[in-house]
Amino acid sequence: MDSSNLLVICAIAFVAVFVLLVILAVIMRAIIALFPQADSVEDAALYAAITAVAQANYPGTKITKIEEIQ
Amino acid sequence: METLTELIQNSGLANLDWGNLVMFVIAGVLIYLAITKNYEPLLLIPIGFGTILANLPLAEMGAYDNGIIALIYKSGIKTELLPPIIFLGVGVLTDFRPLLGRPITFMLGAAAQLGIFVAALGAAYLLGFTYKEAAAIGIIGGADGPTSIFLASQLAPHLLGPIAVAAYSYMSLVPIIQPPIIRMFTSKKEREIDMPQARPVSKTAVILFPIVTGIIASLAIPSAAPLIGLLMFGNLLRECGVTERLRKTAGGALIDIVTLFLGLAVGATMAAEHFLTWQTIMILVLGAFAFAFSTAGGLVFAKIINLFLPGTKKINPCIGAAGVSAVPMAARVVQKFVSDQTNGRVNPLMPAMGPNVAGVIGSAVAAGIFLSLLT
Repeated sequence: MDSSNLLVICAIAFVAVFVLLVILAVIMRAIIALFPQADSVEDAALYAAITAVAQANYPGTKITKIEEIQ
Repeated sequence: METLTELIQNSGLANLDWGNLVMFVIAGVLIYLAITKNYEPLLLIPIGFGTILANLPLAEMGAYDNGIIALIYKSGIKTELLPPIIFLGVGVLTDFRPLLGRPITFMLGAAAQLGIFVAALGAAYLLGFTYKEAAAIGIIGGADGPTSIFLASQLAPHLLGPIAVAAYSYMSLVPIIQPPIIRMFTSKKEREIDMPQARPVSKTAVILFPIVTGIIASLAIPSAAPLIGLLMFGNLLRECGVTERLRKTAGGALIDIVTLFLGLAVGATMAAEHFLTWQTIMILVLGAFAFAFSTAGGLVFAKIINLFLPGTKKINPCIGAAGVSAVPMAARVVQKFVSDQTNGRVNPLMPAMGPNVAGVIGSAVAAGIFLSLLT
């Protein structure tokens, strides 16, 4: 391959990098689909803090759901 | 009297020439930049001091002499030992979750290797370097010091000093090089694209990633296995959660020890007769072009991807610039640029980390392909 045109070598190399990383992306996407992140357990400390603040401001309130909006 | 004359004639002072003095100045600049500007100090200080040692006449402290540094060079760099061990530490220190949460950014990491090939072609066809030299110079565009050293030590060992210095110098100059290119290739509207948080990734997926990537990349490009294999091994140590001692050693003491030897040995390749050549100047120029084209490659490909994505899924093309693998500096540069441009409304640090870590894999693969095709 030493005598090959460098232009050809570079073209092959660039395409190969692309193809390999695309393959990795597809495989990892499949793995992520197969092993999804379980719903995170509610942070107990966060729940306690929010409950305490809510109780202080609105006594008798019960927190039923905490939702984070990105 | 004769003995005294002989002693003087055998001193380094009597054998000092202008080339050594110029190299002392260059070493001083590297050390100055490391200390005052905080430019890659962990490497530029050992490289700078290695340069001083290599230019002490009769001291036998150069990488190509017969002293202690030559021993480190021959057993650590020529044997391909040290760069992969650096990659082991990099694997420990790298969090691949931003990449796994948004797998499309793998492609940005690939596109941002464009500069490697543009610089290699320029070196060969415009400046007359051999193919092996051109490939070793081109890899500067990968913005990855250990990869540059790894490839240069195999394909063009006589150019190792200038290539390493160019790679690390430009990596430290990313905050200066990239913003104008990002500005040139993106519109105000594109910079304001706010990307949602990537999907969370399970621990199982995070553990499977280094294993799967190590196997697939090494099967596809066996010559990339020393870099990719150890990078992924290091990442497995990080993520598996049961090898805390190994993780701490690989990401701490071991990478520090290897960095010391690597920097010193690379600096010691910069003896005046090897460094003060036109080739060095051409390598520095080509390195700058390589970085610019790599940055542009990532940006343009991000814009191309956006053509096929629905409005809500569009990516901020600026994160394409982070595909050069200077981790995490390139991602930080993108974050700062976009945040400044949008008055703090858009902060794409985590999205930019995806292509950033993909670039580490991309440049290692590119180096492996060059090794396969040119040796």
